[in-house]
Amino acid sequence: MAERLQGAGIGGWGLRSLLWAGVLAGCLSFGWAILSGDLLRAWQAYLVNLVFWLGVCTGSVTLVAIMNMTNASWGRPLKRLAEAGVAPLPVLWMMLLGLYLGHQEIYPWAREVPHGKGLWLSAGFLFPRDALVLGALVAVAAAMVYNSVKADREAMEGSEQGVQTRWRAQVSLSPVLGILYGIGMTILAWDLVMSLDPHWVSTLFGAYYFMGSLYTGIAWVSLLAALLHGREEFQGRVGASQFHDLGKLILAFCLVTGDFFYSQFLVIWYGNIPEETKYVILRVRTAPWNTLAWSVLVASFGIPFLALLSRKLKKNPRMLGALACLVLLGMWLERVLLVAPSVWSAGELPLGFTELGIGLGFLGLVGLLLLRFLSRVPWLPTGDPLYQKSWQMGIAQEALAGQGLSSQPGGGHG
Amino acid sequence: MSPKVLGVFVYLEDLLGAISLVRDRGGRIHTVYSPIHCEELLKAVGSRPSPVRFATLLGGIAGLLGGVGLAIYTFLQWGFVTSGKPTPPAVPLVVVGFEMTILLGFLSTLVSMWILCRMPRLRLPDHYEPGFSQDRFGLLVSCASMGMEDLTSLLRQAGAEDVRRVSG
Amino acid sequence: MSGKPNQLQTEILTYAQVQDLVLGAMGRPGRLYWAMVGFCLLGLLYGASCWAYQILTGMGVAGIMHPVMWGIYLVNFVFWVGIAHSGTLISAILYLLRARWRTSIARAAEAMTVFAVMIAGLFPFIHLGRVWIFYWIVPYPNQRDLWPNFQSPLVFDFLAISTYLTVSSMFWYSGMLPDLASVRDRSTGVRKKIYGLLSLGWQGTHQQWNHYGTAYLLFAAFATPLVISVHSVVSWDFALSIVPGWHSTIFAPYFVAGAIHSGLAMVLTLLIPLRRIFRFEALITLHTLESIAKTIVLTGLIVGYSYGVEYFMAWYSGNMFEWDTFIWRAVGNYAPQFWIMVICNVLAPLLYLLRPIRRSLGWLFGIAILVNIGMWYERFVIIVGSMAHEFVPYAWGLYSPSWVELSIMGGSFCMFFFLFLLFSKFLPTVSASEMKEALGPPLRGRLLRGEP
Repeated sequence: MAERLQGAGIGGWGLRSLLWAGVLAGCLSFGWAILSGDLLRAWQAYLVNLVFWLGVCTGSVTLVAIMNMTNASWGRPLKRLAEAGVAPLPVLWMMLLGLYLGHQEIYPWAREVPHGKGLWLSAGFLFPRDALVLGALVAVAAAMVYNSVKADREAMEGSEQGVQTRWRAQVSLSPVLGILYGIGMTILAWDLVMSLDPHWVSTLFGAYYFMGSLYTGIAWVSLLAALLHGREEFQGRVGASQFHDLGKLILAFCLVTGDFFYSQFLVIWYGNIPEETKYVILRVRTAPWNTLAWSVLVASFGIPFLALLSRKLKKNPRMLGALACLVLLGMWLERVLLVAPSVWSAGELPLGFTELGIGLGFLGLVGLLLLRFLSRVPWLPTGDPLYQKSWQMGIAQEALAGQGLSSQPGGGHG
Repeated sequence: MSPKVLGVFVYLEDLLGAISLVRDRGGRIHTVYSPIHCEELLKAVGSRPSPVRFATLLGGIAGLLGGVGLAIYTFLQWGFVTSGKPTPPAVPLVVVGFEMTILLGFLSTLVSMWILCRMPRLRLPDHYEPGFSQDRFGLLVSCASMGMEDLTSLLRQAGAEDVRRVSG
Repeated sequence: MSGKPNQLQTEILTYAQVQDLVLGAMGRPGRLYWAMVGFCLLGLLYGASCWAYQILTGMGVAGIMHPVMWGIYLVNFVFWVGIAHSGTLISAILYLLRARWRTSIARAAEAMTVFAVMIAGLFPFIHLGRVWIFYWIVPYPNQRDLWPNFQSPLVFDFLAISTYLTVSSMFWYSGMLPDLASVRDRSTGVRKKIYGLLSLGWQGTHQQWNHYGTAYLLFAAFATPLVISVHSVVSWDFALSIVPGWHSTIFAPYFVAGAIHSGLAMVLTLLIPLRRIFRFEALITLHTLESIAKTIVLTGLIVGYSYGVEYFMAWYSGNMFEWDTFIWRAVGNYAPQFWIMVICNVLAPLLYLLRPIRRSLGWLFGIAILVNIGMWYERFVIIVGSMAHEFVPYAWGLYSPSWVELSIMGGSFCMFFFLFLLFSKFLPTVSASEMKEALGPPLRGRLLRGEP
């Protein structure tokens, strides 16, 4: 497997220019909003996108960790695509620090310390701890991906021992990443999103955020797979069965995220305690947020659930990619729904040119960093023992399929 | 009832070979016995996807509509407001609908499986070989266009451990 | 593409050998077996007679008293429902995820589920007092013109538990049909007739396998969301109130993770002796037990996370009742139970991270027992602890179980082991047909599957 598998040449000038245009649009929108005095709007959009893309990228990398820990061999060809989520993370980490510049605008606790929470919700404690926690997460993720890419180099040089060492490193880093993800994203959710309304608490909020981020992560990987599966770097190893498995995973995370959403909603609805219901009523019953809430429900949970029951849709890359787009859009709107109502009190929805521009800016930034990563690494994880095994099993299956038999032991009664 | 021939096989590829041979010669396969669920075998015999899924869908929908419908009916009929919630309330009915969907969907799958498998069945057919549930495969072919002798020799050629004549 | 090829790593080569092993366990039981069955039966009867005593005398014989109106009957209810969950996890969810290590233990785990749900379902009746009016919760048109309140979490419970009992018992039974047929075919006389009836005339025709295969997949697909929903519904019995320490949005996933935690520990507790007694070492490998242990580490971490989040939110919310309840749990009258809970549920399973511990049967068993004890105390701390220390200080009060409650609880454990012992002797404990499938069909000249 010593072929040149570098992903060189991905994204010609056309794509790169588009992405740079997005980044430019983002800077211009942000700058314009700041200069015209609409700081609240600018920083609000900044926070929404930061929270969304942090979720997508960390979720994507954590999925690799989960795959490593469960010895999953199904999605191995897509490992590098999922690992690519680590590329934007250092920049997003810096942008988290950048949030400090605007925190006075959006966080009520920066203006007036809520009673009893002053210790936890002070900029001097909040930003360092978030930087530390996210920094640790990014560092471990980077180490894991570094080992993964290095393993491919070792495999190309034919060093079997090197491959094993790198694999063992990934296997030991994966649970650490999983734990840091769970705890880290919880703390980020509390500090960045829940604190926008300091008097509201929900014990499930952290888990809801990181589960939703895993959901966006898998949707993101599916979208990338749908866009890129035909390219020669994949050598045709990403096919209908990969998409079928991706579809099943998206469905599973859709159900889990929906279940977490419902758990919060039911408990708050039932208890009917004003301190808790205020938050929900604002988002679900009051105009203009109620239309947004219903759109999120339909786009993030309703349509994906119904659509993903169909086997045909799951196996079709184009349709799965389109669905993944819908999920990402729905979850982006969901982040808006979490953030904006606590901050924005004008009559209409904050979804105008400012938000569009800043959103495109973040998309462009993430896209550029992703391209940069993918153009420098091999796309197929040849140094991954599970990938090699799944590839050999695939060859053996094809060979024996000619004889009308399968080399696979039967998979249970299914 | 036409006379049939039963071949008992030890190895799967022998059985698959026999099936294709019988098919080529225009014979009619009545039943294949197997101790395990085997995809290749089902494909070779030409099994179509089981219609159990339709029963599942119908049962699930019936459960959803029935459960939620019953709950809404009870709220409208009694009209008793508890803890200030509206009657009927939408939020808790998700749970009711969910459980009833699963219950009726499951039960309809179960019953349709039993019916399609023709279970329960008190008496096994006379030609049933106890090895079929242990480690032997069986192929029951009816002598449609081929003679009894031809079929018997064909199955032996394919590698059958034992070939028997079955009446009816 | 599914998991690793031939992860069974067994020396078993032929179907006949699998069959011999599984059926060998169903041979004539010895004296020790009957002694154990007898002991459990006695315990069960003792518990049942205590229940009869309670019905005749009244609920006063239980320690339940204001303010703690939900005592260990409800603790046991939640405990047994929790135990039931990992059985379905192993048999249904791991089936959908195509995890190979599940095959040898799925049948026993499902049996554990069915018996645990049956026992769990008894406890609301026991707690009810006037057991003879239990049918009032069933929604049917009646002359009282009353319907159950479908908004109540207790009605959710009724629907969820009865659905779970139906689904899990039928799933277990359907999975056994091919194996019961194979027992029938190796038996004679009365035994043959009984197993013939039980196997419903299964012949293994291609049509039967076709329908069966599809149905089994659908069963597993139904059982999976059911598992999550049932324990979420049980958790909502508490979370939908406004009691401090109960009203918390994290309860649903927290309880589900805790249920799987306790259930997997019970699986280890049952399987390690079973494996030894029936000599199933070749079928239920150390690798399987290790995989269970690793999963227990994961669920233990989730439970630990939940404890941490609850404590943090109790402080962060600034709600003095919530914060006081959580402080009291750690240092109040039920502090010993609390610390047993934390040490047994969160700290003890971390030992499973060490490979020598994972591979030692004694340690596996011992830590599993600790987790069981810890999870029982967790339910105690949550249920009794919160009710004992609600909003108003003059309404605080303590609870300790009476001998009647403890006897009934002991009777329930005896019932569980009694049923499991009967299962282990009279029904196939390992799913022979699934094991055969995992080995792959017999091919001429090649007996061991997996290597091309």
